[in-house]
Amino acid sequence: MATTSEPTQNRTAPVDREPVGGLYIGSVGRGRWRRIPEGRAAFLMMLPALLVLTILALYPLYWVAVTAFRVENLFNPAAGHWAGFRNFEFLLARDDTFWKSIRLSLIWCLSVVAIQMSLGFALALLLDRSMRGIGILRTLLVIPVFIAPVALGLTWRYMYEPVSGVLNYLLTSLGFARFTWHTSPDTAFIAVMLPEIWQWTPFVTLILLAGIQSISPEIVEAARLDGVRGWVYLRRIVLPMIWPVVAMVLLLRLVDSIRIFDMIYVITRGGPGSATLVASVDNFTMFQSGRLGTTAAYGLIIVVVIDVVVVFFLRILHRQEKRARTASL
Amino acid sequence: MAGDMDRVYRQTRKDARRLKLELSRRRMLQIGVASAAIAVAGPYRKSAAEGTHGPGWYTDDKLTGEITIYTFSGQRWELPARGVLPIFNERFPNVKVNISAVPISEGITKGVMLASAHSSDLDALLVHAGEMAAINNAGAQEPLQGYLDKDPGWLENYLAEVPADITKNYRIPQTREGQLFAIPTDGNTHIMFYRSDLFKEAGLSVPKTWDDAIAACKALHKPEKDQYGFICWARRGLYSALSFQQIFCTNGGRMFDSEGKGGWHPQFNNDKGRIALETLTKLMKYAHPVTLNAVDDEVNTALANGTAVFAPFTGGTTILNDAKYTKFHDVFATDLAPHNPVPGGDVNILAGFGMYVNAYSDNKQAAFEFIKHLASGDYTDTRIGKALAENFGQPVRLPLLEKYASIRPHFVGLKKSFELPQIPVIPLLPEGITIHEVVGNEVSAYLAGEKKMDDALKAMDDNVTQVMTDGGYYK
Repeated sequence: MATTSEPTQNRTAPVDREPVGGLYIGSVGRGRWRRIPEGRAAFLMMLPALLVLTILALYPLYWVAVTAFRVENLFNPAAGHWAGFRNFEFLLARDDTFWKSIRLSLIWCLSVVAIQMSLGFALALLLDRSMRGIGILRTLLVIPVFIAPVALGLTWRYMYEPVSGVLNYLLTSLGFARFTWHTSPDTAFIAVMLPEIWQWTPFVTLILLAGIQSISPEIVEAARLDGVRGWVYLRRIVLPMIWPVVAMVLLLRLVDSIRIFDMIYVITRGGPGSATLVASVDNFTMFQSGRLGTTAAYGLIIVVVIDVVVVFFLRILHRQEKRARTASL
Repeated sequence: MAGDMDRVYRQTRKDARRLKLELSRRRMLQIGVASAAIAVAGPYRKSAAEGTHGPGWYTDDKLTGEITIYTFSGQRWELPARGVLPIFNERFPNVKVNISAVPISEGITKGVMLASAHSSDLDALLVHAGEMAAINNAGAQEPLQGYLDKDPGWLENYLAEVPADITKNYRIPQTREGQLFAIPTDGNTHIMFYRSDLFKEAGLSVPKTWDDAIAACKALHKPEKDQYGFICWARRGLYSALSFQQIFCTNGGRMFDSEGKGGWHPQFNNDKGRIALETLTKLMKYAHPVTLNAVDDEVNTALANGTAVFAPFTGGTTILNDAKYTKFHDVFATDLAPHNPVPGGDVNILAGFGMYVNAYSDNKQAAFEFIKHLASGDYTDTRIGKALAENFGQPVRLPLLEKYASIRPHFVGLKKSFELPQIPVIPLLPEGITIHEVVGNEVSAYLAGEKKMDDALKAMDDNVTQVMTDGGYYK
């Protein structure tokens, strides 16, 4: 009998034993279970995600990498052929607008995020008080975040209209001269920054406000008793305490800003001339003209540039976070 | 199905021949008296539609199925297609038509991508002449010559009413001898829009040359009154190229030395290229502030709201003569875009669209019938042309442009333009859009002050040469 009972025990779930690593699969009704080793179990669990990732990200990335080394025209696929590094050479050495676009993207990213963070922090400090109507004010602040960038871009485009737009109407009503807004190469870049700042500063404000309000009241009270106020209070108490929140918002905004496309595309499509031609818009217009090889090479370069920028900022943030923690101790 | 259609076509051919034979003076008198009697009888007529049928009218309730038409949203494309649909349903009651419309700004590239995908979801698709080569290369176009030859009466009438310079762009190869793979259904060229009231006030006549145009811009330019003397499309890329091309070609310039083996060498960096950019610079002195980044939307809005008063060359549009859109609807007039009296300068830039049957469609016959119906004129039914004109369409048939000029005054300018030799707005090569984009980028870089004239013209030649080298044109 013993010979028959042993296999039965092996097949039942080890409910009354010490947990053993791995995955148990089988049928509860029949009481048969089979243990899959931990490594294989982990792989099986990741498999659906890996499959999705392979189909949606790795394969396109592979295709982009291959296309980047080919001459491919969307409108004449039959003429496609290998071209070595020619697409990269064209972009890096011969295309005048490429470097300008990269430069504009970096300027965009740094200035927009810097303004959003500073304004957002200032607004968060202003809103960090109890007064009548503050709840409504905070709710109203969220509204711009929910507006679709295309709708927002169109609205601003009509507001900017130099002769019949509402902004110039207001300016002239107040006795000021008209402004060229998005129609002049000199002012267009600033004009497309404004809606982006308007839309995302409230988001930064709300996150930072949540961070500020999570600081323990005891710490705030202790700081007050010690006479810590103003800039010193902000630098020594608030910033170090909310630094993880700041780092998170900064990173989110940084990544979001560097891949800006819709707002600029709707308002100016990169113009006038190439005044607002950030890398993503330049790359898209290249795609629209059918130059798939060059578009792919451009895309790869952008991925590398974004990675370098993000890693660079992450390191700086990490270093500053460490320094802030040390200072607060 | 094909047998039924042959029978229908044979009948219409007979009817057409009979009508031709019987149109004697006496017969015409009889028709006149009968028409008057029908008009008086009015309410007692058996059917209002019967009086509108032409010799090409036929119906077919055996043609069945569902088709989807790919077109561009809004005026000129989607609305006319919807406008003629009730008459189509009358003729083919068992064919269900769905209309899928996308914005034109994305539509051209998307059209090529749809063709490359070899999908059977769409049955008839709008196509620009400049895309014909690319889409035909993708094997997505059903040859239409066979379908058309079955109804020679309709084809003869169509070819007689549509300029050969337009239909040739929808043939493969794109010469007058090629076979039709698409039927032009929408006609457009660069035409001049001007405010007749202001021209009269300033004592200006309609400009014929570019110098005349510059002088008119100067005379009309009063920025202190929010009145700007010039506007055109100048946004980076395709649109800048279109404006440059209008001035370049009407000064005798041509994109390539010759179109064929041993040729295909771009010809921008020369005197004609310089004249075109210099002319554009002179015009830009009087430009509406939106011009540097303008496409149709901005140009039409500025003209409609009265802040821009003169567009020497722009696309045809119905809105400027429509009381719903502008209070200046009754003073906007159209004419030919300016030309310089130089060899090769007497041309016009042709745009517009045609429709083709998807080679992968499951219902090619119904798709063809819809395209044919959309391209029909009075030969099939007088209501079709009327529906096109009333629903913001721009027919390619010259008699329709003439007939409906009273409700669409810009048809006058269109008709005049169609009668000139035409240069396709996008080169008739698979790489046509690419070429325009690289040329336009240089034009706008020059206009925005980012490049000097000679550098921009040289870059145009260099970049187009690169595109042509990549396409294997110099092998």
